[in-house]
Amino acid sequence: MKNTIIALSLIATIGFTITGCKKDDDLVDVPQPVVNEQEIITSMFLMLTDSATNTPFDTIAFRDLDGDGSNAPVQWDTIRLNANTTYLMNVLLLNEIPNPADTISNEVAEEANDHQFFYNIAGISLTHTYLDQDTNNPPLPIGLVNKIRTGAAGTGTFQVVLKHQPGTKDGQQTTGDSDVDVTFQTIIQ
Amino acid sequence: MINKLVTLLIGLVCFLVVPAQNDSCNYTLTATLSDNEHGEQLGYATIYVVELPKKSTQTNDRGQFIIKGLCSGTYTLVCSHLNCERTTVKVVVTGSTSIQIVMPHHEHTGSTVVVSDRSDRPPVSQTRSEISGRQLDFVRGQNLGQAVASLPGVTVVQTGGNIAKPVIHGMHSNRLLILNNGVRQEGQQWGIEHAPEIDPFIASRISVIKGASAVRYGSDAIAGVILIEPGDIRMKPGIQGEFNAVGFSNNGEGNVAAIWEHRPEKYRAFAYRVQGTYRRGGNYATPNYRLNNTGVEEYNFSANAVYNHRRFDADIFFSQFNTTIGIFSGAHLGNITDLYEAINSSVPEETGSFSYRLGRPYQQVYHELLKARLVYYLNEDWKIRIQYARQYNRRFEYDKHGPRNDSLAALNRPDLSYELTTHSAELIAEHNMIRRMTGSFGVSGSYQFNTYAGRFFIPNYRAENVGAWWIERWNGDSILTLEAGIRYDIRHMQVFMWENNLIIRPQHQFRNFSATLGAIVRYSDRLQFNINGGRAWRAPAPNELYSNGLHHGAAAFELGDRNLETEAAWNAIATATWHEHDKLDVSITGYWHYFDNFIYATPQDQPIVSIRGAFPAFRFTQNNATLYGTDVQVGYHLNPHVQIISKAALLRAKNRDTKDWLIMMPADRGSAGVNYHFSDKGNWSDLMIGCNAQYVNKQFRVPYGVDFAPPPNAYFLVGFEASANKKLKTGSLLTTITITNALNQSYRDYLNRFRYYADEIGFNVRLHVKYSFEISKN
Repeated sequence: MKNTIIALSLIATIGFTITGCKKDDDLVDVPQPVVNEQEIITSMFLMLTDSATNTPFDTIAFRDLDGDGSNAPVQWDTIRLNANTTYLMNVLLLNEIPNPADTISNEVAEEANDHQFFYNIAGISLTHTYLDQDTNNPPLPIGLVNKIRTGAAGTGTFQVVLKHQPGTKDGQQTTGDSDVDVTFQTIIQ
Repeated sequence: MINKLVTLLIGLVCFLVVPAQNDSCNYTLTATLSDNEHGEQLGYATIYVVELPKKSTQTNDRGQFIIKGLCSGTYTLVCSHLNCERTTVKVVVTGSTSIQIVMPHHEHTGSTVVVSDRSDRPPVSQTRSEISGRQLDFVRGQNLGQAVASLPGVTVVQTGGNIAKPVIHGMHSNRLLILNNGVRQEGQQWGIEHAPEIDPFIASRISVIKGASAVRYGSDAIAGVILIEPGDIRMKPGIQGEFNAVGFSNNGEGNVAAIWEHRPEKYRAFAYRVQGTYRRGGNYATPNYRLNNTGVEEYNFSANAVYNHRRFDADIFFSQFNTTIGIFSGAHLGNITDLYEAINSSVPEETGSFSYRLGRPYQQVYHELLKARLVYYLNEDWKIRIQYARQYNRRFEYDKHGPRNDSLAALNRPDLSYELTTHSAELIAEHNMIRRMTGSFGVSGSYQFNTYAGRFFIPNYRAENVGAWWIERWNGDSILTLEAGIRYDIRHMQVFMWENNLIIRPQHQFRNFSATLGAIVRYSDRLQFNINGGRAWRAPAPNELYSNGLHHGAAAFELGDRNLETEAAWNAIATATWHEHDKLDVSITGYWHYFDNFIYATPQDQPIVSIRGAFPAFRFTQNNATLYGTDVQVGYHLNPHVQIISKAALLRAKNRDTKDWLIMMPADRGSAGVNYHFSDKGNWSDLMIGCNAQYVNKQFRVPYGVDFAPPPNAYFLVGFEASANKKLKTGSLLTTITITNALNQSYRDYLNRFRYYADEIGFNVRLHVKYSFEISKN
């Protein structure tokens, strides 16, 4: 009996030692390329169309090509609009790290019930209206398609915030996590 | 066989086996010391021979000592050991004699400050406190950080309820070394949210050594060392075991842990021990709400086998640690605006109901240790210790949101992953008393490599360390002990990382001396001073040199600086202890750390802008700094039943360059408790009830304008504890109960990173049952 116990415990100890030990995956010399499992958003484009003439007016860009990395944005445009004009504004989000780039705004549209854009205007005469809705009950705005109307000339800021609100979307900006938060200098002339 | 008389003043049993010899001065006294509670052999006890001080010696690993060249006569031996009352024994020698001395065990009702003497421990002149015996039973089920936080001068830095790191005198992580079973713990300890990967159920004693211990353990041990010590495997043939079950009311947590130990009658040289733990907890409750996704699941095991030969002891140990820890989902933030929204709302956005479900975000940590050790006894005076250890640590961190892309999400890959492998070896030669000197010297080396996958935070690297050290101690007489030690270390590190689409391989080399000098002055039977000072240093850690990434929990960037230099410190620590048995125990410690090039993260003027908004950035930098403070502990026996214990700790931490305070330092605190011990009745012992109160002041001493929110207010907590032990036929059944935050107070702690988002844990009852047994033939 005792011999059996000893034999078993010896086998167990040796067994743990051999099978338990994880292999050294020695790939130190060749660091793996950085992989961001969450497709990050590097770039946002606000595509403006003059609603009276239905002609493209301008595309405003914010591009930070290292995503969550510590480098500064490579492009951060100022919005310049004409006074007393109505524009259609479509939002395009890209991840420009892979080639070709991923269109993240499509993913946002797919998960529209969990996302909402918020537009905060300060210092200028500008009104914003949502033109799209999700399938929540009651439906809530998404903010990928919008209408903005300028008033008198002036200078101020236009802040775009995209909130990820899985299961908690309630039309409030304070809910959820910020996926996008960019403030553009805005001039109405 | 002639029986002879041995008188013990406080001691108990004696045996002897003596063949008569001619009456000259060449008798040999052989003795074994053991303790009366566990029958454990008392290694490294000091034996002072009153009549012949020059013959004074100490016991070996196995509690044995030999005194040669004795004439016939009566000798008085004063035996002292860290776990026992000092015992005086009269021995009548008329021939070579073999005796057994049993020493009464200390009551570990409070954490006594004690002094040790063992080669795998740092200099004896340092201040050491420990949790063992009943004190350890009261913290069973808690994680390592929480367990040691009951000691004065030790606090925890927490990330929620399940991640706690010990802090000694305001220092942690890269400045605090954890020695798990004699091996330097090598995990991803640089991160504040990376808790030590150790199962506290492994330990039968947890010791905290305050003050720099660099000479014995190498750089990094600037603040001190925490020793996780499994008890020695039983020497007597037989079986012993322990089964623990612990439950917590707050988060429905259950722990089961078992130990089985066996030394067979037929093969007395061989013994083994196996041990395992399982732990599962659900969402924690604060007084006003539950915290979503704060559960934990953990399973650990270890196996240990020893072979004790006349000339050597061989020991092989393997342990595995697996944990999955849910991170409170309200603490994972998109940007700084989200952080301020979280700070300004009284109730976090993501409260939840009770559940054991673990969702994103979470951490999954695996750690294994394999250790082989050989202690070879060359002769009575010298022994050699050889040790090899391999550790493998794997840390996966999962963000709050999985990939939007469904096929990627199905893979469920971690967003951050690190794998760290460490091989370490050491060779130590150690000598017993030779002309009043005891000491040891050794060399140690390690090779370590780290790889990452997923998002970047710290780079791949290889690091090699080599060090050599020597410590000698002069055991002058019963009043004075002096010791000195010196060490030299070389650390080389090569980093492999992508930069501008190229792999770069920067190298770093650090080399430096450490030194220690100390004294123990036994002023009287009651008053003792321990004084230690020295020089310690550490090389900058990989995160301090290279980190570059976003902390979702703090919505802040952390940036390394690859030009950082060695951090070095002059340290001094002194402790005065007053010990009156069954009356009064006082210990007062003062410490001082004078740092050059103290490494810490400082906020940058310019935030880092990404599409998610602006993030504050913190860059590692170096300044000169001074940390000093005091720890006080007083235990007073009002009468044989009532004991009062109170503790206090104060710390000041200043940046000498900016003349400002250092961030994230523990606030001043004090506690007091009263215990009532009932007399043993029949089979019942350890009948005790107690209550305690703790006050933690607001941390007023913070650097100006750096933190996101002001430090939380002071708080006052009340707790209760009780225990009872019943002797059974084959063992004993111990029950301990503790109640923490008994008044269900809402409070936040400055050193908990979740203080921005949520309150601390509310009312919690912990119920612990331990069954221990022993089966042996005599």
